[in-house]
Amino acid sequence: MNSALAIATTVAGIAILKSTPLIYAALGGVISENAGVVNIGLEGMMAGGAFAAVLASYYTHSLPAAVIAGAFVGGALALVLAYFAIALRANQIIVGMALNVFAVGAAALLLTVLFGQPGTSPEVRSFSSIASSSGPGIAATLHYALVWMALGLVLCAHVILYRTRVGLHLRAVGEQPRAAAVAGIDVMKIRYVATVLGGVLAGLGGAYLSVGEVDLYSDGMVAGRGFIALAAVIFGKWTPLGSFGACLFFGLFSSLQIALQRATVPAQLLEMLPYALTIVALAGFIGRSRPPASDGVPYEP
Amino acid sequence: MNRLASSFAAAALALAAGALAMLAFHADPIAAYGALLQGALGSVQGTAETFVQTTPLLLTGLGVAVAFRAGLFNIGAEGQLVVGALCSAVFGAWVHLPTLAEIPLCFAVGAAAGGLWAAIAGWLRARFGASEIITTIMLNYIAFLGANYLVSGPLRGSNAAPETAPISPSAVLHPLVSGTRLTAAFPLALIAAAALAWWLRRTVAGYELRAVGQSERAARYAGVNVGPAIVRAMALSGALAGLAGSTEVLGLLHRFNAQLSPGYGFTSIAVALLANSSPLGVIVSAFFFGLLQNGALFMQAYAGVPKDLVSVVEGLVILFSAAGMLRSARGRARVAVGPEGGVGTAPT
Amino acid sequence: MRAADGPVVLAACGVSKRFGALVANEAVDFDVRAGEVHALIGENGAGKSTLMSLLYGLMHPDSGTIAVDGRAVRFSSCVDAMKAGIGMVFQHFLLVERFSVAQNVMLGREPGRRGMLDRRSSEKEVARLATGYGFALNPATPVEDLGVGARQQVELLKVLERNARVLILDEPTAALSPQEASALFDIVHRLRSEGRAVILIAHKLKEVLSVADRITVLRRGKVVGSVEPEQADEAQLGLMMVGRSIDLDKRVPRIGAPADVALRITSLDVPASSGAGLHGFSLQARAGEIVGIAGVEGNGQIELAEALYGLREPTAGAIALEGRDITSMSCANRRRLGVRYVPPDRQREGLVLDFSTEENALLGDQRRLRRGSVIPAKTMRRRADAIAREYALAGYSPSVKARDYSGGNQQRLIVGRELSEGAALLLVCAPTRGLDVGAAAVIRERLRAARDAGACILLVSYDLDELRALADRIIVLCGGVATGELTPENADDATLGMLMGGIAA
Repeated sequence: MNSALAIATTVAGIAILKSTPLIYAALGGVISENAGVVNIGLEGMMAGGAFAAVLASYYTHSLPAAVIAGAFVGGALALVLAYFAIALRANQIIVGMALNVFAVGAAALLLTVLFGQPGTSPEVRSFSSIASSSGPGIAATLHYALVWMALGLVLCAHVILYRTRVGLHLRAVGEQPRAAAVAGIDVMKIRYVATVLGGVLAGLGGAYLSVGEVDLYSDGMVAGRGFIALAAVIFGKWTPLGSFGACLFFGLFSSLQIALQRATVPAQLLEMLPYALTIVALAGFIGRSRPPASDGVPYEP
Repeated sequence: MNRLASSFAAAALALAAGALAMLAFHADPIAAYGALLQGALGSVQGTAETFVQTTPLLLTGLGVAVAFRAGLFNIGAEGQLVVGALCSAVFGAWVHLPTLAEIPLCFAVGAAAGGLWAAIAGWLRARFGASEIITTIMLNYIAFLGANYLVSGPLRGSNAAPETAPISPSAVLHPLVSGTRLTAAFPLALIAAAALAWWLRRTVAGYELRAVGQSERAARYAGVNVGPAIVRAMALSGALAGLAGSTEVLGLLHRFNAQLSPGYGFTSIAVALLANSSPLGVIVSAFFFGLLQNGALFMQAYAGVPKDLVSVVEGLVILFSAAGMLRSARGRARVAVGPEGGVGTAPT
Repeated sequence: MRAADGPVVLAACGVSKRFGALVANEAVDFDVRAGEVHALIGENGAGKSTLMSLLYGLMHPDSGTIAVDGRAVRFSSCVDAMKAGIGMVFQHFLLVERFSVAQNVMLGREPGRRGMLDRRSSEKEVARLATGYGFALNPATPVEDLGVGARQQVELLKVLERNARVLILDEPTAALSPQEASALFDIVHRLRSEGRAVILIAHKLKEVLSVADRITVLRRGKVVGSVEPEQADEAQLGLMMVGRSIDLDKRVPRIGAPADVALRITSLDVPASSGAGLHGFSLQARAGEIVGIAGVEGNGQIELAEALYGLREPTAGAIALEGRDITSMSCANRRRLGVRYVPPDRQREGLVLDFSTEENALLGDQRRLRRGSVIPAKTMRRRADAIAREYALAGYSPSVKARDYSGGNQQRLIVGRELSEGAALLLVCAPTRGLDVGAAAVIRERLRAARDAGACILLVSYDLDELRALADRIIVLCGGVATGELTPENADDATLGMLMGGIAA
């Protein structure tokens, strides 16, 4: 009995930790897509954020600086997406793809240039490295700060999107930008802000991966989490709470797979589930998953 | 002509940005690009290896391009390649036939598998209006994880590594030039490009595919059954990617393992974009990226510039192509998603 | 008290607007007074929408001025126009589908403190406004769950919530049922009695006569005249709208008598995507006959044509061509039987704009004429050459993209293609809309020739002169129902206008 409970608690705990980076990135996707900008570059923004956080920690030894650097680089990459997608009205999918390739490549390049060692960065001061030096109490607190912040941001995003004027205007812009513009709402401004904010959040998710879960950046460490976040956005029907739930659900599968190592169900099949479920959701088999009406459609004033 | 110019401009700008990056970390761009060219084209072995790298890019690039021509955005070439490669490898290992029968059959199996995998996305799009952009991304991961599971479990053919059993000797494509890895796959890919160009231009099916891509509405008024046309276009696109997987198995690895592709299917999007979805253009742009990827190692070794610079350049090529497409071919970019299913626009 | 003598609140003084060669408005004078309903009528393309866009700040006039309360203004966008007290209800609603009624009405002006939404007071405000006008709207209902009439009420509330002094209603009854329309006119009267100015864009003459205080007629971008309803009747307005016929519209008698019945339509019901749909429509048409279909746009004409062409599935009834039931036959197979279609939207439906001329010349016949699996290159080229020759396609080369032709040449290409091997049943929609006289003449001549060669032609047109000039008889559709049949000789504007407006002759 007791051991079952212990396993359940462990699984749940790992699930929350595993889903935190997804929550950040998915929240970023929810915000920009509700404003009508599809962000397929979440993966690249996470990679950029993860790398920047390690870099900042390496040079400043400051964890707040690391987290801020991650957010900043995520936002900067999103600004490129915003400029091409909003001002130039370029294809948002292609720009997102370009950012994925660019960010992952640039991180790998800088890894070699700055640290002289391809593939992996040196170990840096991180939330987990504090754990070993100053005892588990503080480390847990700090580490969990990022987790709690993610939960707080989900609630914030929910309140902002559904309870404030700004949120209403943002959703109006993603649904029917012309109606919003006629009502005196600045469509371009809202799309810019939402896109960059989305990138900031994805960057935070990346920072969590590199200086939260571990203490270094390595090539390929994001490992498709940006796309899982994208899946969570869709599976969560483009809402903060829904995609939060989807992230937890997906995180649960990662943790189950750790808990049930060598058990009856192979790990890969469990990992497959988020992707398969997203397809099922898109096809409308479990209730229609419908994007904002003008998601991905450039607005021409 | 305008489009050609904008493709060259995108490539040139990306290379220039790469040069700037090198200057930033005190490397010599001329020496680096020189080493890259020297490595990629400076010797028989180097040139042959460039063609080897070009081959899968060419085939997957054709796949993405044909989808673009039908107004569809196939991000799933990588997954289709993996599925094609796996099925081809399994078939090649299980079946023992004379070479002349076995090799074409292995190719056919790979193409069919990749085509079926992509057709799922086509069907979801045609039937439910689900964005093929999202479904192909998801199908990629399902393919990677599924293949991973199969080679580490049921289909594991060796104790040493998670990979399938080697294909039978009669399925092996041997090098055309000794001392290189260049096989008949490369000329085959060139023929595929020419055949696809002809098919798109001259056959009724190609004509209808292009009509759907340019204007679904006008195609409908011309009596084209648009849903099946979309499924067929995705299947063709996936078949080309599956064929790319087969060539890697038959010509290079002689078995399937998860490290088979360094991301050819993703680079193929850049290949198709830079080529403006023209099959003959894909030959040139696949060669360009093949050259970059092959030369990158030499650049790293002899000019001290990390090979990852090439990924940065690749990302920039895509980015600048997206901006260039806008200026030169406004009319060609159109919304390519169902009424409800999804997101995004695609060039055609 | 019909005649409004309030002050002029909004006026256009001598405004002109050109789009390339097309003159959309030429020296138009138009004004509206407080407490007045001023109707603006005219055919499609007469320049009504352009004039409204100028008044609402969506465009700037090339010359002339817009004045509010007698002072010249220059709106930089419609937001300025709204601030000046002008509100517009577009024909195609601008609503956020997933938002509630209240959220749509209050968009951009939501009540609340410190940026938080006060849903309750917003809904209360909208409920108060809605009740005041007798709208049965629940403020919390998502707009996507509303019907057309209710959506229009939401649009009206958006304008009224801003307390607009001038309301522009663009074709407000186009998609409404007669009951909804009459409810709307009650509201319009109410707005007038509140001292607001209403501009009503319309083309149903009866409605205009019953609700307006003043009627201005626009034709080919110019004001033909203004009348008061007491001094006008439908016949006179119809004449003003349509104008004198020109030589182009001269009737050419048919050669020979029509042959056997080729097309037999029995009580056909076709669902609508938007607009009226088609209800219980029956028709027998002979080979060698042009049957004209008249009616205001959106009254079931396209549904009829597309059901005959095989693109829209009827829910009831039957279609037989030359004795053969084709009700559920695919479009491609109907083409094999000689069904041809000249669609209303030549750029999006009739042509693939980025295809070459010769590729477009094959469109629709690619399967029928194929050689094995290859497109018939020689036939395709020959066909394109023949069309270019017979229709005098300016700037022709087989490889020129359809996009690069003028509208007239694009239409010549479509008609030439659809008639290149004769037709058993030719469906034609608005074939000369927006064309210059030369191109229009060529196309009409070809349609007559096709009829004389034995084709059964169904001609949907919004141009009454064209119908009289081409059709051997004219059937009028209103709300998806045939309201009458006329010979071209007795199809005068007054009679046609009444039938189009749903009044039996």
